[in-house]
Amino acid sequence: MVRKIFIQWDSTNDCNLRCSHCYHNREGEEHSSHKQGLNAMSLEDVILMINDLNETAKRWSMKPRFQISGGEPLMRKDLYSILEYTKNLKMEVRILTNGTLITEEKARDFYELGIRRLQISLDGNKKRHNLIRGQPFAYDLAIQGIKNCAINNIEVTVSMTALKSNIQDFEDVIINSIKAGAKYVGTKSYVPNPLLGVNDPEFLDCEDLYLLYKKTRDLEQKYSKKINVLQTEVLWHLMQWDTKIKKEAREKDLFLSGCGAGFSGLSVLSDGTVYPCRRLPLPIGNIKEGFANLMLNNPILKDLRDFEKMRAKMDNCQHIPYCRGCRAIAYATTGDYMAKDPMCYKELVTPKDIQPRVIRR
Amino acid sequence: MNNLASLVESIDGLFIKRSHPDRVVLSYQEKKLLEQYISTEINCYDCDSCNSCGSGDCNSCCEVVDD
Ligand code: SF4
Ligand code: SF4
Repeated sequence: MVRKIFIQWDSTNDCNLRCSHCYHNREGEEHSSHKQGLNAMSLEDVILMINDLNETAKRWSMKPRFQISGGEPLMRKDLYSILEYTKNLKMEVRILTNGTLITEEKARDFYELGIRRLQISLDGNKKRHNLIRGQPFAYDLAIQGIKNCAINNIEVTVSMTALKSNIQDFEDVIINSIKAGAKYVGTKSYVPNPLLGVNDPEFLDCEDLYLLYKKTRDLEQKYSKKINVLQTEVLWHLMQWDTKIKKEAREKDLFLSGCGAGFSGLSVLSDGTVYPCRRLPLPIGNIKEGFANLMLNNPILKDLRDFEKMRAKMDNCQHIPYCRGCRAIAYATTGDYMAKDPMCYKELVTPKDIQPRVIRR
Repeated sequence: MNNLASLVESIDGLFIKRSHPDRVVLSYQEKKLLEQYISTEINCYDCDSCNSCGSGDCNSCCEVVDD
């Protein structure tokens, strides 16, 4: 299988929820209102962007993937036109949604329009999810959204943003994901508010993360017959066996995997502004400047691909070719996107933690 | 979706060469970028967890074929 290259696109700032951890709370007036202003990319611009991604991927012998997020993508009026276009290109598309607007009919339409996999967030048990998401209906509608997808043959990944206040709910999220018919479930790390950095009360430090991953392993064992519990964020590799290919990447100093910023794609906001990753809020240009042009020439992306510079910040860590930690969390906590990820728990790992990667299909 | 069809037709003309003015030969910069990726078979098991890191498809989730 070839490598993939992606654009993650915030299709709109409009959203029907008001989640406490949303990045949009942090990025100025227009974003924080959760309302799209007049500067949204037009359908023409979106199609040009999709073509650009498609052509660049072909040129680089990679496979394009287009990920549509928001705001809430279902609030973008021309979503179906966009999906029809990507379907004609046979492009792989994912939708990242809060799930609350996915009626049975919408799920059927999505299937027709080529969607086979979709991500819905659940941030804890019902009470906590509704509290975090700011609406009393958020949980029930998200669960219904998962069910509607499942019965229409769309595989759902449930994603939980792991916060200090909700990590104890992960098992509840797994159980309810199973009941609703989801196929995968996993946590994603929370990027702290840059104004608070590591003092953000919801931030998990390296020890919390280490304990969460150990717990995740137990839960994976417990529920493995019913759902795939994912072990796949960048820092998971610290608890997984070394492999021949990792050794080769180290020896040759080549990019294998790990943090995608600078390597695997670009994040585009609803007005066309580009970030290296949706969680790393450094505007590096506008997508109209061209996908390949930005990937190749932007100095921040070049930095992110500079292993020597990064190694200098990470005590010569050998894992750089397939890790680099999360650049967004490094940036939010230190102001330096090349700094060490404070969630890195490599000092805590014991030999008995190191196990093979679990892959279930 | 006639609207979409005609829209696509109308912008096909300005189809983006903006990223790659030279479509046949890879530029020096492109080669340099692509040479930084290890050449291996990536066995993406399509778990969608790439979304879970928020970035999209970072390949970090992929099982890399290891003999
Ligand atoms: S120091 Fe950086 S590259 Fe090394 S394991 Fe930690 S986060 Fe990963
Ligand atoms: S910056 Fe963090 S969220 Fe973004 S690609 Fe890297 S690891 Fe993933």
